[in-house]
Amino acid sequence: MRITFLFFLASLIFITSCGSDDDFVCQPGVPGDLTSIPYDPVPHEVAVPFDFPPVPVPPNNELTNDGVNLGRHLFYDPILSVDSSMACAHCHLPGGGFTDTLEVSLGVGGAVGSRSSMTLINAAYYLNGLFWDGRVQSLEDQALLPVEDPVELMHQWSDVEFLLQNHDEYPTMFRKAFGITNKSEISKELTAKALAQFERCIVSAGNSKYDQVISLNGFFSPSEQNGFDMFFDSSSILPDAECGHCHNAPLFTTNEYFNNGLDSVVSLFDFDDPGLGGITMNEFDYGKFRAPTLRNIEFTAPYMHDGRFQTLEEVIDHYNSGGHFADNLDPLINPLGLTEENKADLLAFLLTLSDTTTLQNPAYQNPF
Amino acid sequence: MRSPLLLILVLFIFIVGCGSDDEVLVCEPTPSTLTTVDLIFKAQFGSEPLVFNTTTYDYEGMGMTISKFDFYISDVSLFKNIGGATEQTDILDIEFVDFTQNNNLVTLELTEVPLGSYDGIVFSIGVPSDLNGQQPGDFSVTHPLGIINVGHHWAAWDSYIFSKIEGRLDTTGNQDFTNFSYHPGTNELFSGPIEKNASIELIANNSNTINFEVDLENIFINGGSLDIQSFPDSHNPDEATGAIHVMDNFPSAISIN
Repeated sequence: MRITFLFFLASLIFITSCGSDDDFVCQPGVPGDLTSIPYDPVPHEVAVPFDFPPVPVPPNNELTNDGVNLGRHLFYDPILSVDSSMACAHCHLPGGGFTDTLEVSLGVGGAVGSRSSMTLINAAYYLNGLFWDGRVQSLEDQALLPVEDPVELMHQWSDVEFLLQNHDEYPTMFRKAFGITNKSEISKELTAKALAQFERCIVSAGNSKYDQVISLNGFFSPSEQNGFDMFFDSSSILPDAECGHCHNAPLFTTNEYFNNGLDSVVSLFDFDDPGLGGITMNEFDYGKFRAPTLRNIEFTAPYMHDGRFQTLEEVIDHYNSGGHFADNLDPLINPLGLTEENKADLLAFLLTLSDTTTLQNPAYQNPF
Repeated sequence: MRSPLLLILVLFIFIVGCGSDDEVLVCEPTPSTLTTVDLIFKAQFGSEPLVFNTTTYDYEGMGMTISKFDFYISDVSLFKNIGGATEQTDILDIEFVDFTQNNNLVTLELTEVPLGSYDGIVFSIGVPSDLNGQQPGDFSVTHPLGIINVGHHWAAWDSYIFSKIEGRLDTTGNQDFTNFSYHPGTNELFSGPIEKNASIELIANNSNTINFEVDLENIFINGGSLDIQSFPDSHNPDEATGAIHVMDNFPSAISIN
């Protein structure tokens, strides 16, 4: 009786779903087939400041409008977390300079991480490893890790793939983004590619006061100019604040790894967080972390890999002190001898790197 | 009249050129005149291989450790002396030699270098003025002068940093350290052309190498030891003592094997 009823129901659905449109050929079809959806990829252009090179894009993940759009949706969708409570954006809020403004990030269920979230601004140009410790080399590889991290999204990729394949909208979006022919082709790799496409587009708008001055469309105040001169050591009168060596323009990072003297240790293996050393296992890499960009640094407090400094004033005080000695302390970390006025000038310059138009760019906001 | 003559001439060349060897099925084009060459750079400290961080070298009775050493090499050419003239073959515009990230041994692989016997090599240390006026954003991200090496551009000088040499000196033997960092740049300090005589044979289908040995101790001590305690850095263009010393000594510090 039940089988007969099911057969009747299936037949009814088949007949009614076909309609009478002559252009539509009714066939039994392959479950999950997406080929009826157009695939017309349109290259996605990313505007960059005048002193930036074009955004580097890997040949196997060219930017397309639909790919970026898919990545943006995935970035803000809590479907990637085990209990649908968190999305990538929870740790990378536009208003927080694409950080979460916490000392260390919190994952699903309040799981406490060990490091502060890093900004995504200009992530396309991070060519020397990602995360604080450089453990992966591409945005595509980076996007794979937080989903299964027990102190982040705590999900399983196989489950995420199932959810995306059976979602009302994502199969169509994956089809438009990557030309897949069947829902079953939705994979963690394509999900990561889409996320990487979106993240690659988060580029400085070039509207900070610094950008305006450098492009000869504005002037620094005397205090900001002093700060600039100390930052880049371009004055023989003012002290060298040594900042530019690790935070060089135009990105305001050199993408290198340093021990900047945060902790006092007896042996290099004694750092609470090994940083780069935990990846390379090289003794002299222990306690080194990637220098983050200082663009929009005003909005990304607290600072350092563990969020130990709440304000930029504390950061400047740390560097002015010369930090703690270790065998791999960067030789540019020395007592700076900055006066209170010097420090205020340096801070004034750092604030010229703020660019709210980047953070408020509609293309980077939550699409839901 | 001219056409039949030309036809006969072409046929004659074809027949004579092919020869009668059964193994030659078709007339081969001229054998390749190009080959590949590895430029291999090895850093020394005096007679010892340079070891970063862990080896302490004697410097004027003080203990020296090195944490960074790199430089740009540019305008590299091979030369032949032909009679009284010199014929030069350009093989490399610019590259970044980074000993720090490559465990003291850097290999630059060059392709399409003309085969032949050469009498030496010419190169410069630093970034030529025509490139030095540009910025990292002007190049592709992975170009030696691009964003990938953004730490080697110093906007305040409007110049690339030609070399970075960093480390520390234990001035008393009691871990009383003086950190030093020399970052020379600006067109005035460009070092070149540097000419090195060497017999270089580039052969087809062979692993051709040209070995550069760079002696960092020589960079410090040639022409009188650099007073590191008095001049521990060279970031400011108004204080270039260390930078000048370093760049002046690159020519004598590099030898070709």
